[in-house]
Amino acid sequence: MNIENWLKTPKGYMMAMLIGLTLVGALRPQDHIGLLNAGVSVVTALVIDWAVAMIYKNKKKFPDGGIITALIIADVLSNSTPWYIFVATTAVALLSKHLIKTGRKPIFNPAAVGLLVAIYVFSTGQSWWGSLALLPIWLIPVLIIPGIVISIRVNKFPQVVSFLGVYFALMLFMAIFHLGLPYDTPADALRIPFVNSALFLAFFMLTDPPTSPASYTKQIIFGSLVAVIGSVIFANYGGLAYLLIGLLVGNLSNYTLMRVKQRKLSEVMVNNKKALLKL
Amino acid sequence: MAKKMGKRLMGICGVAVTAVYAAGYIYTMPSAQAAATSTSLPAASASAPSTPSTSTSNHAKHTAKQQSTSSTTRKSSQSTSTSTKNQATSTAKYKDGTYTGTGTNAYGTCSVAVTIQHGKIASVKITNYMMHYPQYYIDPQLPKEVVSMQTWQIYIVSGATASTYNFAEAVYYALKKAKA
Repeated sequence: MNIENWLKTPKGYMMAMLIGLTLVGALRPQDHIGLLNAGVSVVTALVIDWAVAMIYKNKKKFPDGGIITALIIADVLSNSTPWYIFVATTAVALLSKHLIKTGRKPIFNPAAVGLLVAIYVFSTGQSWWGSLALLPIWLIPVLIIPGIVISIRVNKFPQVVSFLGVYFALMLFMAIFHLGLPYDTPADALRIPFVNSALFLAFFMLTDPPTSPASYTKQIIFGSLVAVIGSVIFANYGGLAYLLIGLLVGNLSNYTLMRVKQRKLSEVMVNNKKALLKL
Repeated sequence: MAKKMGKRLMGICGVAVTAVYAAGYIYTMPSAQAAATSTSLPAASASAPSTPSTSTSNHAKHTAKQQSTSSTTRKSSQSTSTSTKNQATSTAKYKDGTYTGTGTNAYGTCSVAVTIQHGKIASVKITNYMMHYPQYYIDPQLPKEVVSMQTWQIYIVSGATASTYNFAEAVYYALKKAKA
């Protein structure tokens, strides 16, 4: 597959968009170093994915998934984070992808796992600079337009719309009924930099095909669940992790529902087999 | 694989989400503006008369350089001193006791407890830290700086500008309470 064709694939497009956002985000003088941090994350991802491929004797292929995870991590972690934290966070994310899986699919969004561990274990800051959170508001279409395109390309538009719709509606509800914390208010959540984080998560993390459902009905439930969990955590604790926890809970529910469905299917197959044997 | 969603339905959904967002944005506009007003320090520069720690008159004025984390940060009007340390000696007298203050901006909240002994800042403790940047970026560096400089006007920590602003604001409000 040549580069032109590869760029037309969802992963190719996603990677191109993330590289574009990283370059735009790094226009801010304090975030120039973000390019170096992104490079560190990507190299870590390449090394880990190739090492895993060697261990499991898998066919070596271009580790585009690992690079996407690395770019998401680099775009979220604060650029004042030491380089080795980027290495550690990317390593945790990719190890979770290779170790916590069902069949060949990871259960949890790898970047979300890495970033959550980065908050609670490595005590890192997360500025979501790649979501252009620290740049002027007129640059927000640079985030939204590619985000909408990617959500359509991977056929996850209902999921993105349900997440954003429920999330914004809950923030409005919180504002009307004066719910939540005195800091980290709905007014904050609906404005930059917080709203950029929600948009970035919706477009580039929520849409991860292996960790989210395929059918539209399930996508709507999944998106809504992530929004509800995230909003409840935001209302009670604020902080950084509410969107990531919401996403991981959504991933877990997706896996649980899939397992229940698989079990029911296998029970039906066993019953059918028994019925056939009796005949 | 789910079948593709129609373009018309996508458009309707997009408009609906935008409408909900716009409703929330407009509804929260007064509180956002109120928060922006209440969180901006009245004494944005050392030259302002209401600073809790007054610089001695024979000292050069602080070259308080306005620094903003970004155009999006509500604290953009707030500044901290980047001048040399010897400019920051304070003659202000405070009532003995422990006073608390809180600083808030779009990146979170920081609360401090400032202890005054013999009219001077004896210790500063961060009591609540809910910022996007980890606490170790500013702690114990900034509390020590406040004690040594005897002022809320401390140096900006590179990479944790918003945290520095919040910390400075929290100390400012604590010292305001302690002012004799």
